[in-house]
Amino acid sequence: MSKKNVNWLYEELPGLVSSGILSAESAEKLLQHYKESKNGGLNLAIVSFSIIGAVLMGFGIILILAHNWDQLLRPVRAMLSFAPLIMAQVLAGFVLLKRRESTGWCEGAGTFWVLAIGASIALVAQTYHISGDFGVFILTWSLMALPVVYLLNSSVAALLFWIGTTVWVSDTHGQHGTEVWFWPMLGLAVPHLLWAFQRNRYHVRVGALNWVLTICGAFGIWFALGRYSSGDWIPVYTGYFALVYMLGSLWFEEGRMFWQRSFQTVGGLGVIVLSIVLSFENVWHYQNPMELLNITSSNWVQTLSLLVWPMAALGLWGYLWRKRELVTLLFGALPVIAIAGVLLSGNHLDFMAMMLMNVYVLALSVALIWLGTYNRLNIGMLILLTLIIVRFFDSDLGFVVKGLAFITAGVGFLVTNVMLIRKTQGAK
Amino acid sequence: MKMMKWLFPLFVVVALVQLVVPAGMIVRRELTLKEGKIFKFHAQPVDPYDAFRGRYVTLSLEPNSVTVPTNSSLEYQWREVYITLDEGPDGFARFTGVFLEPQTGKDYIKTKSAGLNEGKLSLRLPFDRFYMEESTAPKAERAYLEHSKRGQQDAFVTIRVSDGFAVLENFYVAGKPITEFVKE
Repeated sequence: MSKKNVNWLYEELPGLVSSGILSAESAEKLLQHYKESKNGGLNLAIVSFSIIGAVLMGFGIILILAHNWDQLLRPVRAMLSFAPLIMAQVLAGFVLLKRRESTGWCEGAGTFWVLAIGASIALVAQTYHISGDFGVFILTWSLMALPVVYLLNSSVAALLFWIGTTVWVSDTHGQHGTEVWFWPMLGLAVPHLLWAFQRNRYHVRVGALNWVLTICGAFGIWFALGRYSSGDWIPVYTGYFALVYMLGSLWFEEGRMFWQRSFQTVGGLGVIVLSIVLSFENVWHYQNPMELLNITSSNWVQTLSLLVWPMAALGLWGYLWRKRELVTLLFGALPVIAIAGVLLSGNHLDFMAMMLMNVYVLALSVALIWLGTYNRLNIGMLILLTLIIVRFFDSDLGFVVKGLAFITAGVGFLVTNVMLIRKTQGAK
Repeated sequence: MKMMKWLFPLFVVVALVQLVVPAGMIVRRELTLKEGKIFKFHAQPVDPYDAFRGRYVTLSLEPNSVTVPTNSSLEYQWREVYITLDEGPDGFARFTGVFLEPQTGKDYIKTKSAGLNEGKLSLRLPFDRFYMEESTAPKAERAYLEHSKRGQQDAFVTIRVSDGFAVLENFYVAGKPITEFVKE
């Protein structure tokens, strides 16, 4: 709730109590409830400043150490490499004993602690000329930082852990099979998210965690893909983004701000971008669905993600079917359409696959415009406009075909509009 | 307060484990530097910038490949291998064999292999950088370039080897440690 609204409520409450509409007890409860959100802005600033301060100090220490003081003898430098870590641990111990209730202290100390761990390992590596195996460095750092998430309830530590895990998998995915550890690794910080979710799912903390988790997940999928066949990304990514969107509408439907609806934002953006990309005919040229099912010992991770994401999305889609929320069902339908497209394209019907996807994008944008609130209406218009522009300049289609398609769509819109006007007049 | 009963001891355990990781890295290397057998490798430095760990001289060592046995050679590619080594007549290290298991009783290095080319297996040796102070790393490179005319390549590194574990000890140009050489 905005500050203005809270202030209004504060002014209204005494009147409501005196006129007997609200009991004094209920009014007190309301006051307490909104007091927290009234101070929310200040709290957020305090937490943000402590995080930024910790980040700056951590980076400062890393830079000073990176100078690599030649004058100091090796044993002195070896001892010195413990300094940032011990400083961070002492601070963390203090916060744990005295300031555990303060989010600002916990997040600040947690951030500094995570950076100090990296600084210490990097300094040892520098002192002993340890070769630049970046993947091992990041993995060691991330795993050592994981306890910070739970000891200090630090969400920044959780974010850094997820980002570290993603950087690690980007470095290591060349060694077949190691990429599957990305998912259990990512899962190690998820209990922290659940803890925050249970306290208040619309808190900025949950929003930030969800943003980073869903984006890291998208990158992780990429590294588990794409070395053997060309079409695997279609079912996998459409499944992933549709699943993320539908989970968002299941768990975060009441969120008003875009960061409270991270799942819908990330998932929705993924669905929109993918469906526009798949609305081109030449994207479908090289898809071979039979190749996708050719499982070997070296591509099993890929095959696993090929099954998991679309199937999870389809399962949830079936579950949400009874809710009859058209927009959610349309966003969630992308993997169904995409798999149908892959099958069509496998039978050399690329044009049909392309048409199917165009009808889907059109349906999605029209539904958003028709049923939407202000925001959805804008998004729907934007999708429609993008579709029109990309089709207008699409060189795969002949001018006559394009012209006829545009005229048909235009007539469709005009007829719909006439029907709408009659409907509203009828309602009057 | 109830939670603190186990939370603080847990914190102490975590803090200790975190200290053990760098401590272990240090101890193992100090032991190898103290007790390991010394080998010399020819080196060619260049100088990139690594924002994370300061400046260093990138090393490209010679030898960096090993002859593989003719049968079943492909299995040595792109994996962890164990390379035995000894000292050649010129006083520099030479690789004598490649194995898939540790070679106890011999001097050997555990390293990663790359591709195979005409019976030679390329190695990704774990000594690709020599860290120096920010201001001296570029000087080191210039000094090296001035003193490495064709046929006079006198830069080398010393590496200590013990039980398959190898640690880069020092980097020499014209017979002097590079840190001393650049001060002159």
